[in-house]
Amino acid sequence: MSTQRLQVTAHLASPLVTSGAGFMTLDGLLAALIFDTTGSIERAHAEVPIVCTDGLYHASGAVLEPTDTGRICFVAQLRPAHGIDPELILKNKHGQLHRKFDTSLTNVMNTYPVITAPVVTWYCEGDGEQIEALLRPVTFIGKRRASGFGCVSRWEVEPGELDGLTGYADEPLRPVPVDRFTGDRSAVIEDAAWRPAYWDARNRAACFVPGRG
Amino acid sequence: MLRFFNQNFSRHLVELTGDEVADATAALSRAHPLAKGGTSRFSSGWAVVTEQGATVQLKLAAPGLRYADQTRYEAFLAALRAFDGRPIMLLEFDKRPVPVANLHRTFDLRAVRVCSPKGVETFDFTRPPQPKGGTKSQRNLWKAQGGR
Repeated sequence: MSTQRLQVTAHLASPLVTSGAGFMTLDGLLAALIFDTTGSIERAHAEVPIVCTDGLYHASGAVLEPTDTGRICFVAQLRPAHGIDPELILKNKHGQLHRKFDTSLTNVMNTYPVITAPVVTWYCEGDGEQIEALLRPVTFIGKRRASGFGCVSRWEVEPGELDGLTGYADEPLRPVPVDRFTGDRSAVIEDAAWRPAYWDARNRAACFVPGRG
Repeated sequence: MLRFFNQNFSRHLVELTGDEVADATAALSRAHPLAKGGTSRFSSGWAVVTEQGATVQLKLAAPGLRYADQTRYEAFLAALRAFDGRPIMLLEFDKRPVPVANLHRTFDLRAVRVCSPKGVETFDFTRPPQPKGGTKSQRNLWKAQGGR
């Protein structure tokens, strides 16, 4: 893998929906793309074309300069399915199943943060060709992609100046464990997952993190 | 993070197995013996977990925990006012158990985390909430400490 410092830019054609909880690191995005094609979690974590030092990827979180922020609600009609035989479930005093065990349609509303921004930028150290090859087919990023959010009109992978860990003012660009951070130590400290899988609570530690704006 | 939670909270309620996720899940979702008899799980109230131990509202028959009658915001405010840089965990309970994925410690008053079954609130305790903004806990804690 021939590596260099890179700046990766996604030009957005529609607002981006996020979970609001994570930092949307570039290595996480690339690992998800590898998992989509291979179906293997091990390969998804091992084949990310970004420099990794003792589990810490040199890849920033998503850097956004929003022109507008807000929240958006989606209502989904779900039809619950139960694998358990209703005959085995305790009945109420009228001899009927409790209502929550029925299988009629249920409306569920979920609310997400939505960000309008012209571009999303990441900084990293990695193999530009491999990164570009993974990103080129991607036309949507973030949550609610199937609803048209996070539409990417164009990707740019170009040489950059930052290593994906600290920014121009020595601020953290991604969660970096406190004992491994060499930048500005006045940054905010949070309990954050610093290595994949980012959803796994066991990977959380005290980290310097980027400002949440 | 889960080691912190299990060592300071879960171990007083369940026998630790070494599986950090399973132990934390068991502590948060199982019914535990009450001081007055019977059992109950954490379906309301709050907990504050620190390195010095945990304080809960629900009066359990668990001698390793401390108990207090404060409201959740009184308890959180006291914990934040006493914050000395060592991690604390603020939990609010509801009918649904708090999932392990929602457990976060607070290390910095500029990024206070309140963990609940619905999610995790993150806010800056050193600043007033934005007008018509901020999270529910941020607004209530700001009012509780005399802000308007």
